[in-house]
Amino acid sequence: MRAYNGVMRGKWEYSIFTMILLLASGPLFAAEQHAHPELLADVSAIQPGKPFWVGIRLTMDPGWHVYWKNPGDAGVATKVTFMLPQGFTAGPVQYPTPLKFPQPGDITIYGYEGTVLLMAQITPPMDLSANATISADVKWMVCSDVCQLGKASVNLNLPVSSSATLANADEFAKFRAELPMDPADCPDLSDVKVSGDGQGQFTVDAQWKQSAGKNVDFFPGSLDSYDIAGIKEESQADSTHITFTAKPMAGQSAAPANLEAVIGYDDNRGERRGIRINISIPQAGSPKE
Amino acid sequence: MRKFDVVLAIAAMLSLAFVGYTLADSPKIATSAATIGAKAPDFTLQNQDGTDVSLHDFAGKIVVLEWTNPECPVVQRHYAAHTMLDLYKNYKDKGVNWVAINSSNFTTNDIDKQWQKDQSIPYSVLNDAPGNVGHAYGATNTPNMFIIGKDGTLLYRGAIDNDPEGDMTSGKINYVKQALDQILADQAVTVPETKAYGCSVKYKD
Repeated sequence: MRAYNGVMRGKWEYSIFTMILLLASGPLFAAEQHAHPELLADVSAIQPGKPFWVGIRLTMDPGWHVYWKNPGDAGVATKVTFMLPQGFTAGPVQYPTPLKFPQPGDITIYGYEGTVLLMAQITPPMDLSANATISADVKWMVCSDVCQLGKASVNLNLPVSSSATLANADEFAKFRAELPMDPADCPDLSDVKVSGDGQGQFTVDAQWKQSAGKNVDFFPGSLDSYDIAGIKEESQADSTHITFTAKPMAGQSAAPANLEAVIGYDDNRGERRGIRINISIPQAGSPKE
Repeated sequence: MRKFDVVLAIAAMLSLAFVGYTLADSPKIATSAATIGAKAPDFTLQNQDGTDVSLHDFAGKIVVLEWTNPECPVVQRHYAAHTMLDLYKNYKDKGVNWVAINSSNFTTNDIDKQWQKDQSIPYSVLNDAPGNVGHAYGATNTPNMFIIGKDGTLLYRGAIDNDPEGDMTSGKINYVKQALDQILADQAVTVPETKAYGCSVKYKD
């Protein structure tokens, strides 16, 4: 009896130990995926020559995030590459307005949590008879306290039809509304002004129609050529004042004169919205420091 | 019973380690980044064997600093591809010194030693768990590369290369190799600053 108990206890201990190891190694050694991609279209059938939209829906596990097209201070951008049948063309991948994720050490990253839809418009050729398979390669880094690289190829087979048949309408509408819009198209904004002092200090002043948006964040579209620092957003009643500095990186003589940026905010229903702005940066010739 | 206590102790230790991971949100420290052309901040840190290594030990020599984190998949990808190891091998006899620094809040000399052993790393891995050296350089990513010239000034800071996804088939530039070649030829570094990519440095605060 004693020996038998001993064996039983041994096995039990072993299995608990294994369980703890498995639980512990999961997030550390990337045993399971934490971001899950799917390919969706906003139609259930293609009409010859008629553009439609497809989107990669990435669903992250709770507590995990992926990165915007500009990942911020650290990270790796989420990338989508479409592979299309002969005669099809794809427009640029559209990234919804991101969120800011502050990290220890004054590191700010830009990305998405929960679910995001990265969409692109596809135009099929006029002469189209057979079914078409749309494919996309998706690459991402998903992080919580640790990070995991992921990639997947996702496919969608669509029949050809002579009549329009919409699909996934709510999903596309939700994320289309989260795409950065021009200031003139923004229902919550009355005006936005960008000014620079010629020394690399910039201000963006947004005047809202009613009260200022909540969680207003300034997102530079790229950090590849400019070192952008000291971003501050302050909202009062119906206005938001954003300040930051932008210095061309050392040796980046070909830095573009225009910096695209997005002002992200939550509207009065708590929906994430974005305003696209352009910042012109005075070019070389101005003395350093 | 005794064995079971050990299991419980291990479980408790592991769960404590995870609490340590998740409670990493604390007050911000302003990043005072080392500037191109300015003197690189000196430091003294313990290597994987507990021996002090200082920047001034390399006075008069070219030094590459590589921010690393064994748990970061972007670092792992570069070690699997031998990106840093091959660069080190090709430049060590040309007077280029190489030091890896781990500013992850959870690192220990033992973790760094294990990483060094697992990857057959021929250079020191320094323990900067408090993050002070990382903050002094403004290291944000792993990997994040810095090159210090013979006169002690910072000559390059940024990414290891221009291929964040690691799938570029043409036009790939290894910025550290490019800068080292220019430094060794007594030329100005044409691209001294790039945007680093990788995992955020897992700072304590």
